[in-house]
Amino acid sequence: MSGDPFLELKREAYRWLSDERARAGMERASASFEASRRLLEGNAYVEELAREVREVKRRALRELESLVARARESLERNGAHVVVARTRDDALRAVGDIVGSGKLVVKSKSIVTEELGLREYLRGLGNEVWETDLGEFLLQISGNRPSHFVAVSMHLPREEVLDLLREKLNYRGPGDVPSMVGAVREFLRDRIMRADVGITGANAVAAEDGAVVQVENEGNARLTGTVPPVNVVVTGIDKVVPTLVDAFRVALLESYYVGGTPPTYVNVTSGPSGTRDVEHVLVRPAQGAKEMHVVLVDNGRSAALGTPLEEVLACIRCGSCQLACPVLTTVGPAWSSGAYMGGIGVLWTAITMGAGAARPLADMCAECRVCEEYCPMGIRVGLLAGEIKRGAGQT
Amino acid sequence: MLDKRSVVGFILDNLRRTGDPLAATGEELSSWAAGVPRPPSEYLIYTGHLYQLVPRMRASIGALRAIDSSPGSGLVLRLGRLAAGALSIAPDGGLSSRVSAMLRNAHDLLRASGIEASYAGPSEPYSGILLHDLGLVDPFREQARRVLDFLEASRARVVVTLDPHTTYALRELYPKYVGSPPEVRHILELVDPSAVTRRAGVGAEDLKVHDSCLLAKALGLHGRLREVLSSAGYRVHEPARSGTRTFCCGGPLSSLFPRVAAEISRRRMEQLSALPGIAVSACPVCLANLGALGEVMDWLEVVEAGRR
Ligand code: SF4
Repeated sequence: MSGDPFLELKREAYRWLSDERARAGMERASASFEASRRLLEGNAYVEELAREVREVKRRALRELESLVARARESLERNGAHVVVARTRDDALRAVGDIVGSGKLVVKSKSIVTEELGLREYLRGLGNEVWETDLGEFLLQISGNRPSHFVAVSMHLPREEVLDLLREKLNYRGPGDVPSMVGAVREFLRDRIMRADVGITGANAVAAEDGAVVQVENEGNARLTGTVPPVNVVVTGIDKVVPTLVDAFRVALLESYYVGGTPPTYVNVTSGPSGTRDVEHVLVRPAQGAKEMHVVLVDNGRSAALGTPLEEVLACIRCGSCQLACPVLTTVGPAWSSGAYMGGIGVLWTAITMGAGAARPLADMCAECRVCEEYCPMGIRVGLLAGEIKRGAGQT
Repeated sequence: MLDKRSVVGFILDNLRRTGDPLAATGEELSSWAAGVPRPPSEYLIYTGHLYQLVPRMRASIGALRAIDSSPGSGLVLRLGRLAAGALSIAPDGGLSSRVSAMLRNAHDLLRASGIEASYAGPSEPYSGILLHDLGLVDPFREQARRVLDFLEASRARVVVTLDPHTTYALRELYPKYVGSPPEVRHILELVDPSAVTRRAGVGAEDLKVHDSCLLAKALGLHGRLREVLSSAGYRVHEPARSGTRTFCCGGPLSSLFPRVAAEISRRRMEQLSALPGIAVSACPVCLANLGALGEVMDWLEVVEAGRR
């Protein structure tokens, strides 16, 4: 280790560059992205949705502090326990207190939990933790970092997945994708059914209604949030919007921008499961989770309000900019601080880890600014990454 | 493998010693301009050295890539005092004469559009854009001030720029860092499309355009480029990624991450290879990078003054 962050970044980039399989995976992912983006061309409905979400987010950021307080009240009224965590350590401690040790924990995909390093933290407390999103699961067993917000494992082509499953799950089936997916499904189903705690993320949190909205296609988040007796939602305060209708809009837009299609599942959770079907007496749980906890993470977000980075808080993490980026789709997970990759990753790194941590990453931004052409929220990703390169936000 | 300090040191050292980031000589910078009038005049061509640097860019891209790929790449190499000699960036002669022809053509195209422009010769200072792109704020500001003084002293009313990087620097960055120069016009904004024709000797009627990111996104001149090319009589083909959604040539990363830049260039060339005709760009950085991998021409090589 040289200790020079620039050289470390360069070494990592060159390592991925020499990985033929990873490059093949990323080329395939970029090509399929282009195809799904073409589905959106001239789609007036999605364009209108994007316009509405830009407006929703703009309003939400203007009154974020009061919206977070409102969300807390509403969620608590609905029977959830809420923690607003100021720092990364506060957030980890809050989840650690809920989970304890010696538990079987299942997780659905959540960028904020990557930001916190939650899986490693919970394992350090003596818990067994499994990612239930297929891509995240593959990253977990391969020890790799994500290369995209949504298509987290786009640098792992099928050949690599087969090798991984053979080595880590003792898989002996054929190498076609459906068979491999089937094997992982069986493995994870077993863990979900036996889990003590299910950790989920959120695409949006409705302050007025006290509800958490999450989109997904695999169905794992729905199971993770409802089958284990305890559900912990971990998300950023930037996800709070005024109403459930607003939250739906955010979730739908994210889904359209990721894959060009509506989501297979939209999960709305407003509290723990319960029934009053017998004599109107509330009994928890019925079929879903008995407890619901929501950890709203600040970790630098409110400090970004009123700075040039404020517009980044409107990011819905669709990853559209990332798949359009010539650099990220070339070097993959090398250009990342862990949870945040690419040009938008430079910006989220600046928010959650400080401009000092983001600056070396900014050297890799070509400032072509093509990312901005693909962003539904109109975030000036390349422009701001360039400003960080030139020392913005440094004291 | 080169660290950032070495690359930056090399560039700053060249600039201090020679006034040019890649140590181009006065002869290399200005030999194209034989017969072009000197200032003062209403219109001043400001090249910012960028087209003239294509041969040195091409050579340095290769040299930097070779250093980063060498078997001893575990070793951190400091260029520091090694300077230009060690980083053999002797410009290639064929490319130099191509660039001279492009610049002369730029002057002729302006003339055919009714604009008599002058050029200052070897005293024209470098724009500083590379310093900005490397994040070197203070050296950029210093260089920009030098250019601003030069432009003001020239007494030109309109500064004519030839490439998107220099145009962007003068138009968007200088006002932010040091103050506004006189009116800046990119040559594509001045050339009359009806006064251009296909250049004699270009063996194809089909062109595929690679848009420079800055030309399209920051300057919005991609439409104008097509207008000029079509008006000259070419059939223009569009890659899937074009206009403001173009795909970078890799150039901006060629000094700090040369192997990443090379791979991005390769991907772009592959995208272009799916289309018929000659690949054309309107940017010296794209020409230096993409042209290293296959046939790419600049728009100033495919059109000339004349009516169809
Ligand atoms: S910056 Fe824009 S395109 Fe990129 S992830 Fe965020 S919302 Fe999506």
